[in-house]
Amino acid sequence: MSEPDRRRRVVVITGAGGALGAAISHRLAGEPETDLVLSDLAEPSLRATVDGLPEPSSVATAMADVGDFDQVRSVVELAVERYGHLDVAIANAGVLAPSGRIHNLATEDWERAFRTNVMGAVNLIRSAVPAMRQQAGGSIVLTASVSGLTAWSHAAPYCATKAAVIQLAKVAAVEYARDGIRVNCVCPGTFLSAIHEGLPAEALDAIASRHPLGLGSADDLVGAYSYLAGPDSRWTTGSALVVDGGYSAP
Amino acid sequence: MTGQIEIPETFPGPGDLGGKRVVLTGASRGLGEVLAHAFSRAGARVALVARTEPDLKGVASTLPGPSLVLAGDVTDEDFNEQVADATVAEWGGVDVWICNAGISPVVGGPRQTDASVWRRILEVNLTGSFLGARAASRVMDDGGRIIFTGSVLGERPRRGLAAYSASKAGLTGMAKGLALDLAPLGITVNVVAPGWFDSPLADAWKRHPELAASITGHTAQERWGSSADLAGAYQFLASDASAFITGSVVNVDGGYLLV
Repeated sequence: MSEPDRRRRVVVITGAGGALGAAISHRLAGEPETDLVLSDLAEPSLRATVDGLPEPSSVATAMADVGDFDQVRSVVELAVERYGHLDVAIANAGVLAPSGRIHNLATEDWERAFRTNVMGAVNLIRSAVPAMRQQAGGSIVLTASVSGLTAWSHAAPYCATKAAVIQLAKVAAVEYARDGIRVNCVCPGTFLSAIHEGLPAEALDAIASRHPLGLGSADDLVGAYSYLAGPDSRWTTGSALVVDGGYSAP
Repeated sequence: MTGQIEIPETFPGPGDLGGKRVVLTGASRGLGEVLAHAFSRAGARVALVARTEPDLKGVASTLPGPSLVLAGDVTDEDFNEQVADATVAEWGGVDVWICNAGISPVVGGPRQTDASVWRRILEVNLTGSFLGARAASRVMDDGGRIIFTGSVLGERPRRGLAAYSASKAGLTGMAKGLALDLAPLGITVNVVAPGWFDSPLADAWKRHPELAASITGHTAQERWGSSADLAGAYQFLASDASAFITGSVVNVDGGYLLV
């Protein structure tokens, strides 16, 4: 067995099959000396992400339900077995709960949101930290949301879980600073994705009008992940980077 | 042994303002005029401060309780000290100093904002409040209350109001700093941050349906605030019930900052 090249960067991304996960994967795959381990719950969408990566890319894939700790740990183990170490972990898998006011939501709606959005991030931190401590360094990036900072009507589980993710990043940042591990989150505003397909133009205009820079796309978000994953952010930890086209400014 | 918490014989209520000696700047109109009435009706003695003496006399003549009329400019350091001295001379001290004077011209973007306009807004809203707090801290005893009028725009600005937003955000930082400085003297410093209130100043916004809708749509309660909604926070922070609150911001905004 050949000695893995220690100088390459190894990145794990969960939720890599969605619009944002695919865009992050594409961006990081194109960065120098980077190996990716991509994970998602749905095989077809993960396959689509891999097929869309620039050539040549170094990529491994693993199916995982982020709500299950053992499955997330397996993804990290795959990264360490395949590439020898882990530098960056991006907890990006998330679910939008059904839309409704709180009294109309069921216990299962809350459990589903907490299981994926909060425990998914917890499980990746729990899995990645031991590997990152081995090398006394690493960067963990969590996908939160501007809805963790502002209130969206009819979306209580989403808002509450994303607020929890922001606070989780802060606590983890404090806990693992001594190990050289940074933990930050990105708070996206609304960006165009599959859930907006089929919406009438007026509905899209209404969403766009609330973003001073207009409606964004997943590509508008990836720079923040690249920055937080890389060495330029080496003195940044516990931060919530808002990337929302100005949505939360006024 | 587990000690039992002490149950006091009486609890101070937020309305206990009888006899309080209150300095109120920006008292000739708008929110200041509302506060003058609210405090006077609650039994406080109110020293009314603003630039225009006839306007202040007009307000004073409608108050049910004792008042002083002190006309001058809050950006003038000596004037603030004179307000403190005049209030002490009349009533023997100052219990509450509300730095409420402020200006909010809509000026546009940075290229439309002359440096002189920027400086004037900061001078009145921020430096004027500092000079008031500075004078207050000289004459206040243990239990003194300094209250700044902030704004939700300090946290969530709107276009064309950068100087105003900066001045109001600055008040929050200043209140926390002064709260630390003045805690050993037993003086508290807090901010009330109003949201959007129905007043003559709001008429320009209400005339444009889109602007008006953008404000009510940003307010969880989906309405403008009324005059009666505002005074309670000031009265609470002025009362003995708030003795252990300092360096805080109380938002009175119908949920504007939530959305």
